[in-house]
Amino acid sequence: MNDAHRASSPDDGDIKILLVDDRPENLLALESILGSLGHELITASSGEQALRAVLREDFAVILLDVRMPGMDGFEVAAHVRLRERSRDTPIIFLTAAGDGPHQTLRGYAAGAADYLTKPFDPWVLRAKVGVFAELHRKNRQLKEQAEMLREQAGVTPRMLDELSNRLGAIEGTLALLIDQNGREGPVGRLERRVERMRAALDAVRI
Amino acid sequence: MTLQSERLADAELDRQLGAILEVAQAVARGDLSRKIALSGDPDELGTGPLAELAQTIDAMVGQLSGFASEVIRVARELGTEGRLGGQATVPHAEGIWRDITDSVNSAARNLTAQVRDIAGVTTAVAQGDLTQKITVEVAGEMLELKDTINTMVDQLSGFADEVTRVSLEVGTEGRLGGQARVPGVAGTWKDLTDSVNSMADNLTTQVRNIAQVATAVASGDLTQTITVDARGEILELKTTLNKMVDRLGTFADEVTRVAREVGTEGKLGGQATVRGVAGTWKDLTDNVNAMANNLTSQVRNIAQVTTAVANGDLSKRIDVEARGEILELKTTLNTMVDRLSAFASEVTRVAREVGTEGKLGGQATVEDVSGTWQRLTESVNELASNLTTQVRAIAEVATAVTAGDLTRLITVEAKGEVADLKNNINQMIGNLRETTRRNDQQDWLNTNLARMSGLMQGQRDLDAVSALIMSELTPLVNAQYGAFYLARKESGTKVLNLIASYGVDRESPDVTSRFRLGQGLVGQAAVERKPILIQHAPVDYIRISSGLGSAPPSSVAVLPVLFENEVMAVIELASFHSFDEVHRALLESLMEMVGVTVNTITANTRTEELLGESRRLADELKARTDELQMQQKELRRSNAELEEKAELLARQNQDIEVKNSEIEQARQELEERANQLTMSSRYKSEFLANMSHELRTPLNSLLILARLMADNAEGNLTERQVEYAETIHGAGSDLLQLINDILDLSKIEAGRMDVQPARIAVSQLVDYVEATFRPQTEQKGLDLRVRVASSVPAHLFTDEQRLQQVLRNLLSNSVKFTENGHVELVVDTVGDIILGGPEDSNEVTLEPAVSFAVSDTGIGIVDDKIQTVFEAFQQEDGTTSRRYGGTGLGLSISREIAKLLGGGIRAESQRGRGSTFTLFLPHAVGPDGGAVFGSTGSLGYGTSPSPAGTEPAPTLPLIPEQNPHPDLYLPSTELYAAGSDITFDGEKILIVDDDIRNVFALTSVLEQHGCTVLNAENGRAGLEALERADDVALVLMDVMMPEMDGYATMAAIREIDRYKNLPIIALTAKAMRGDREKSIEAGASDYVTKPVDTPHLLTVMRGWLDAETGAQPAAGGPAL
Repeated sequence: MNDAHRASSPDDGDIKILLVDDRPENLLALESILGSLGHELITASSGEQALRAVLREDFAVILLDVRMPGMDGFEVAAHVRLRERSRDTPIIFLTAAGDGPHQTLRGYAAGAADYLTKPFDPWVLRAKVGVFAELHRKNRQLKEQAEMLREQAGVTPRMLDELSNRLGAIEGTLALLIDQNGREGPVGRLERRVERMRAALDAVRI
Repeated sequence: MTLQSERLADAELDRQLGAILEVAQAVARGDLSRKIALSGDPDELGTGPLAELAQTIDAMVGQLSGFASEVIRVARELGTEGRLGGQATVPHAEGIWRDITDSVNSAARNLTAQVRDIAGVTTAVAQGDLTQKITVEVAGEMLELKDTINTMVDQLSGFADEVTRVSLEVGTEGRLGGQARVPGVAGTWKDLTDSVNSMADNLTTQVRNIAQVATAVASGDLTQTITVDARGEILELKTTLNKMVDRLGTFADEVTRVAREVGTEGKLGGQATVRGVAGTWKDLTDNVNAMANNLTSQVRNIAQVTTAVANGDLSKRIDVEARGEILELKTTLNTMVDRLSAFASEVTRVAREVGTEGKLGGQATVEDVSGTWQRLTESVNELASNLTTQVRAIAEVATAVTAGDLTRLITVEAKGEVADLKNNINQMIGNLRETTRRNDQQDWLNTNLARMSGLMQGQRDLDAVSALIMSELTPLVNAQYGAFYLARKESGTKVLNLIASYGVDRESPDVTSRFRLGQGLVGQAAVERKPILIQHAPVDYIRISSGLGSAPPSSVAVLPVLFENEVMAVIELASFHSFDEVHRALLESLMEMVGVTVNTITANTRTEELLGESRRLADELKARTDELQMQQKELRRSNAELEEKAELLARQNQDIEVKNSEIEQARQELEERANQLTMSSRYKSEFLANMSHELRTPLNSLLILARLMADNAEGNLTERQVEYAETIHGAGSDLLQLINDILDLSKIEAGRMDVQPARIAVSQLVDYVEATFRPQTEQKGLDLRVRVASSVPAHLFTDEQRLQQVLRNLLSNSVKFTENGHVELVVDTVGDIILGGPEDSNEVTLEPAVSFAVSDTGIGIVDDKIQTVFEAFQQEDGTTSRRYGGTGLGLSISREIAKLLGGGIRAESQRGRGSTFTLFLPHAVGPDGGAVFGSTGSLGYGTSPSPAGTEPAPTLPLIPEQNPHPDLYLPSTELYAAGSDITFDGEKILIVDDDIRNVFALTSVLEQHGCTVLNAENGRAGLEALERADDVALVLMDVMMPEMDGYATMAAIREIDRYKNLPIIALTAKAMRGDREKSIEAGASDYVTKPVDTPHLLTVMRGWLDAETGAQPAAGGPAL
């Protein structure tokens, strides 16, 4: 009934892009622009459909029309961003020009990664989407590499969690120290080192 | 004979025989009419034996015939015609014929005789003679007949006798009951006998019944009625008699009733009403009624009169007609009433006179009375007489008493109540006397008190008053000697001084004119504050003397005069007589009065002194008052002036107020207008905002698709088709541009176009211009020159977007209207510049300014049309044609934008040579050395210029820390809160819910805690999902779903064997009580109420999952 459609056959891995707009001609336009990217395009005609799609799959990018009857783009974005699994999915808002600056504000507050006003240059859109898709692919690669790394090192997620917790404790204590003594000298250096440690750990934990 | 003659003879013989045979046969047949001789002629027959035979036969037949006819005749006469006595005469009859004839005659003769005899007897019987008997000799049946007839005659006779007897008895002799007994009768005779008997019987019965009734009536029993069956006249008789008895009965009843009523019961007035009587009865009835009537009227009359008399009306007389004894009664009664009347009137008269009119002495005189009446009269007279005497006696005394003589007493003889009356009256007189005496005394007391009081009133001088008192008082109490001592405070002690006296020789040494308290009786009285009375003074105590003699007094009284318990004075009195009660009372009261008077006078004196003093003060006061009054007058005058002024002020205030209210009204109107304006502009903006989206959205896809088509990426379109696509795209672009321009313009008009100044690099601007327009100019074969003067600073502070828009407009116009030559942009600084002429309402002075001059070698504009090109939709030829493309709005918008940016546009042009449009923007040096545009347009949020050296200010306003838009929808973060330590190990959870928001949120939470989540948006999908995935560990079921709701779904799930024990948690609404029970009933394992409390839900889920697997519930997170 209210299901999203697969608009083109998957080609490039399984990178999926979600297109959300209540007008079919807009969806058609988007498909035609993005079709040449070779990724799987899934369309949804309403916020509800969009959320269902998000529950079903993981998307590299979500193109979201702002003005839709029922659940509008901002609400969809808010939900998406509150779900951990889809939190980091980039969302591109599409809105008509002249909506004013407060729309832009709302968009960013809702967690948009980008904001395009109609009529937009289709090539620009295509380029941006391509970029996000690429980003997604790279992230996936990273995850896989991290996984491989972990396997090679014989490091289990549990070990990493424990490491993370311990590091977290150190970070907490360090914060107190900074509150008391400021960031001069060794304290500042320590902070930077801890930050780097954290980054490395996070990289492996992806 | 010959044969023939034989034959002839035979034939003749045959004929003759035949004829003979024929006749014989005829005779045998009874037909005696035939003769052999056809003509009867004997000769016809011939001769011979046959002829003899024939003759013989004929003769026989003749005789037979004669005989037959005779016999027949006789038989007929006798048998049929009834003519007796006939005989048959048959001449020449012989032998048997003779015998027969004789027999017949004999028979006839016998028959005749018998019948005649019988007839004789029957005739006799018929005539009533029953003595005759048939005597004729008969035999056989005739004998039987004879016997029968004789018997019958006998019976008839007997019958007749009996019937005669009976009818004689019953009918004539009146002996009823007789019955005829006729033995041996049958048939009609029996019937007759029976009838007679029956008739006799009936008659008997009827008569007897009638007799019975008549007898009863005769005996006075009128209750009997004839009841016997009767018909005809008897019935009439019966009816008549019954009716008569009835009437009699009625009559008797009526008469009896009347007689009883009138005679016995005394109910007069009754009349007998008997209907249907006549004659004697009627007369009787009338008589009875008349009698009753008479009686009635007489008795009534008498009763009337006697009732009247009984009621006291002696005026009535019996006047009814009466005779005989009744008349005597009448007379007697009338006389009696007369006498009574007389008697009554006399007695009444006397009683009235004596009793009512009070004329005593009357006596009743009644003549012709005797016995009781006489005695009555005498009693009445005696009564009257006694009454008279007594009353007169009483009256006498009463009169005397009235006249004032209280000495008289009633002495008349009286008994009983009258005696009581007499005693009471006497008593009363005595009391009256006593009372009068006392009253007199009291009167005297009061009068004198009043008089004394009157005398003492108004007195001012103590000496005068006291003297007056003594002179009045002393004789009043029958004293002859008196002294008045006045109390006075002398050097602290009270002293009594003699100030007035009566008959006292003040010079006498026996007389003390001054007492101290307690000294002497006077002083003592003063101390005790009580009168001292000496009733029998010693002989030489005082001497009261007059000119002719002297004597000692009998009584002395010393009386203190008190006022409010203070001794004012003491009065001493002496008298020859004793002071009686009345005097003492007078004195007592008087002392009070005197005390008051003395006090009053004393007080008055004091008061007068004070009065004098106060008068003096009053005079002073008056003087001062006069002064004050003068001042008051002054004040009043100035008040009046002030009032006038106040009035004037008030009037002025009023005027002001009126003006104010007018102003207020005007202001309100203005406000309203302003509101309306705001509203309409708001509507307009909203409309535009909505329309903006609605207008641009279709264009968006149109343009994109058209572009794509025009790009012809797959190369499958013809040139023409590509051209079409391009055209579509161009048209769409134009439309879009037009829409944008219109929206921009209206936005600017509505004041809603914001400018967001930021620091921009001029070089960037130049790059933009180049990038945008070089392709166009190249395409058109024009030369594009961009030059920036060195005096222009590297950065400007303005709204880049808007500036670009203006430059774009100017440059594109130039490009549009230039066929060959160049288009040039020169950026420079200028000194002071004044924009806007007298016609322009927005005259602006910029000092200094930056100019952006766009010049071209295009067609130019006619001088007088330079202004009009700035007007909307106008193009240089003054028309609105689209010859050169464009919307015609660009310059208007650019001008407005220029204003918003704080500057303006100036145009110069020469027809055929080209035009220069110059945009001027103000520019000042900011605190950081960078350019600052003070803008007279509206600014956006937070436009603080960034300090130098840091990154360029963002081109977008800073995002405020707090969300200023309350209408920004954010789902409740509580739903997403991971407020629990409960974790799961990848268990598959199915959520069945039609609300995607709930599903999304729950999924997020559950995923966070380690579950794998499936979802289905309705019951059906949920069942399908369960079947597809075989490892669902727990189901969360929303109860409120359209179509197949939660309950039905749960029930359906339970029907699947595999899922009989699958934990299903129902999500129910909080408010409805029944929901929870319904859920459990439908198959839920548990329920959680909405809105869902996440930790609670997780705990419940954990519990059920553990129960399923039999595992121990986890203590917390995974242990390491």
